[in-house]
Amino acid sequence: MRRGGLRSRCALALVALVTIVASACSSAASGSSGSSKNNVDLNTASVAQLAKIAAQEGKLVSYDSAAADVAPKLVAAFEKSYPGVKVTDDRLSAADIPTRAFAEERAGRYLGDVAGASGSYMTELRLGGATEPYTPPTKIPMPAGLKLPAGYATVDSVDTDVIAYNPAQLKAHNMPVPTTWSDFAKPAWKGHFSVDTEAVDWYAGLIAEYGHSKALKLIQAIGNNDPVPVTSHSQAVVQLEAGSPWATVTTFGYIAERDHLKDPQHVAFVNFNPLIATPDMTYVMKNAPDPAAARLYINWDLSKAGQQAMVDLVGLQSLRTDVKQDTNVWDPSKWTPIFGNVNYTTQQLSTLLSEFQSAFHVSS
Amino acid sequence: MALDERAAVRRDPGDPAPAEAARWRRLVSARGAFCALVGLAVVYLAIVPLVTMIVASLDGRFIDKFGAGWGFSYYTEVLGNSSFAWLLARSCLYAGATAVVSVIVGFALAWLYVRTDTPGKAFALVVGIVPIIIPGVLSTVAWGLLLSPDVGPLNQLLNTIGLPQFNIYSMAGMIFVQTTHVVPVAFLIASADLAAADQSLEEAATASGASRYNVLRLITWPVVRPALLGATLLAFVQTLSSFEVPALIGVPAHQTVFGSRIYQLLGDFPPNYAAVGVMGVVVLGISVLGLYLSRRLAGGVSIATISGKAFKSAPWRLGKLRWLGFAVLVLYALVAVILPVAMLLWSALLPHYDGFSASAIHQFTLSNFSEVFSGGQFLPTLRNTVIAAVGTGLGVVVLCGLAAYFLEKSKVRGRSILDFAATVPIAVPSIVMGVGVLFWYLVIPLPFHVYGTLLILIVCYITVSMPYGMRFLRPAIGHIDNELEEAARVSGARWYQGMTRIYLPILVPAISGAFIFSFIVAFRELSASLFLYTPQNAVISVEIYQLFSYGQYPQVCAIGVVVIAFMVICVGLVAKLTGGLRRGVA
Repeated sequence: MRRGGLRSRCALALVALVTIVASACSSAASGSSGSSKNNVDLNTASVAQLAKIAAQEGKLVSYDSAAADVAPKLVAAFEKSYPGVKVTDDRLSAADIPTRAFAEERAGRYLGDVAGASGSYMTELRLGGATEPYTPPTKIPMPAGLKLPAGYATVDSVDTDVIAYNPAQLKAHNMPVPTTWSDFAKPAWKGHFSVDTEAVDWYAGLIAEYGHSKALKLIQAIGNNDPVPVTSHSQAVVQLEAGSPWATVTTFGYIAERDHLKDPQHVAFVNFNPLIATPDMTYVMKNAPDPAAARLYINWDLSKAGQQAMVDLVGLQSLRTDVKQDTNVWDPSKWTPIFGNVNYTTQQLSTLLSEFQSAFHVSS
Repeated sequence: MALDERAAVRRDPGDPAPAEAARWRRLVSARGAFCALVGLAVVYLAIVPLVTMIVASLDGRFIDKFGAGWGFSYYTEVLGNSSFAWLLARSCLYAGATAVVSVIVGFALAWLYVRTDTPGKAFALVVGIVPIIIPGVLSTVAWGLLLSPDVGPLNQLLNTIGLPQFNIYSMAGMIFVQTTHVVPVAFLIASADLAAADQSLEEAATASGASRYNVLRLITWPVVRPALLGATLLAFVQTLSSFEVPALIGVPAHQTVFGSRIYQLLGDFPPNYAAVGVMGVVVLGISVLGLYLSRRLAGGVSIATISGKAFKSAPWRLGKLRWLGFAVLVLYALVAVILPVAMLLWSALLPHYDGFSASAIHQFTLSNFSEVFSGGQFLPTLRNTVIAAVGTGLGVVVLCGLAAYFLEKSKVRGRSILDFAATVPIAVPSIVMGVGVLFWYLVIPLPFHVYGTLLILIVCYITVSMPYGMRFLRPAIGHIDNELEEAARVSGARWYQGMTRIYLPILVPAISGAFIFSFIVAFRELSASLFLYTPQNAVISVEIYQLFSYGQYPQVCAIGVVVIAFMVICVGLVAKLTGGLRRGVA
């Protein structure tokens, strides 16, 4: 009898817990960061106005997926220009940025002010409703072939997809330097190259170059040649520099160039023509806690000073024509850039990710 | 007979205590209410995340506004996927093989330490415990570097002596590295059990002419079987829950298991939270099944305790084989501690990632250490980690101390629920707990934010650590005779005075043991932290994982060296001051 009573109470307690959980479903988040506490429309505010309000906010949280040494240098340069704004940079993988943003939205606790990553991951953010459109007064003209939705044309850099290899290892194994992407589908390369399993923008670039069907067959052939999966473009170069694997099909020109300059015997890279280029965008996060600082950062990022600092300090490429670039990495007169689509719908993007992950057996 | 009833019977007629007795009666009822509060807290911590995850697996709109409604559609989608059977089989192989190997190694080491005359007992104890202090992500990184194909120093050595390389990026590699993480737990459980078991039975059997084989089969085996099965279950659940090895070794090896798959699912676009919930429920189901089976096989005896009385007895004399026993200890020390730490130190001193070579010594630099301390996220994440770990330790001590007290010293009804709730997290993989906690605090409408704070990490770590805290504190409290408390009471001491002047001094070793263990669990934790961290509450394990993902190997190794030194100093100091971990190994 008493055992039965205890069971009933346990059952009641469980029902109560489930009820609490279910009632929690109704919580929702709201807010907007389009205007400041000073009633200034931040989307139309000048840089000087933004700087004034940002100084009151005093801080900024940035989510970015650039190589580990990139953000600290850029943050230092920004803070030097605007000492009143302290930047916290949170380095995440490109795929983790949307996950973080969607979690924050669900919790109703918005922590990030700006997010920066490559094309398709920023498209995820945009499609998921985690960003706000912003057309800054500081603009960079978009090149032909790169079309972005209104309010989302804040391209702060361009990543070029290159093949990087270890010359010493190729020489030791009597291997020629690869000349096409399809070389990596050949048996001689089996198991001796790496692929970043998040490099879906490279696939988008291949689609732009070859068309969907041919590009899919190409990545499937490469994926079936036993590539070593890596988690970032930087890790790919670090590993090949150490000697294993010998090459990577997914790294960016600026990373390969940086390591080539440090250790030319063990790192070299090839630019193809046309050169697959992926735009890196920085967007204002929805309900950014520091909305003026977020916009100020984007303006600085796109300004001539910001872009030159970016090129000089970390070697990224700019779409601006008035900054001095590293011509080993970015020279449109030698290597014609070709841009992957960044205007996918949710369904198209989901399919793109799914095809890429399937080709490289990501969840096998 | 209840505590208060016995006290009433023993009271002298001339005892001037009616008023005191009335106050005690009030306190007893207050104690009941307090017990209920503690019970609620424990149930909240242990059960709510699990219920949340179950609800999330059934309701697609629980987290995702675009998801499907209530139903089993996500179960059909996930379980009906052709790759699921492989995922299940691979995960069970990984967890099962790791558990078996870990328990064999852990029990063998414990047997050498407790029951034999193998030289270097102090060394054995250090070797058994120190690997717990090394965060799993660091030893995984270290082994990934040591056995890196072609360039890893150990593979280079194998090449030099004409042996084939060991492919770390394989299921065997995963099992090997994860085993080094789990052996210390098996060692602790086995040491406690072997030390607590009355050896006089074995001695009597030997004196009666039984062979050593028969003594092992007929006496030792039945005694250690419950502990062995308990350790196997714990190793299985810990492995099923692990993330470091599946992510850093399993993914490059194309060996996806539950830990890495759940993480991948959260990164899908659009994010499939319900599928994450389904996967969590599956992992939970496997763990609970494992718990049930281990209890059945143990004959209804509860799984091993981490404490107990030691029986002084003559050790087994191994003769010349004692040096072989010592060699086994040295070999284990080499694998579990010396090689990984040496690899971290080596890489930390080089300007860029490279293998072992004499020429590399000329490049030694401290720049990685100065870089770690001068900028980046190391110091903020270390600060967060220390706060979270100390908060976890204190939370576990308070909560488990009170829960253990009520379980052992009161007759309050419904204690079995408290017992169940405090123990059940042992069968819940921390990755599942992390997802459950994340989902809960994403949706619960609280007047203050928990997501993105250290509180959410502490809550999760306390829940994960509770069963270990109970294993330190419950036996220790159970061993304290009720008469001590009664004597204090009849002498006019208040309840809290009895607690602080009697219980606390006696319990110092158990409390410090529970604190240290929880501190270590919190410090090492990665799988749950990855789901819960933000820039505001990032911890050191996450920072190490992120840096490794970006190929910052020398910086990772520099951080690793600093963290290990820090942990050894912290744990050593607390253990030295309080004798804490000695309780863990009897």
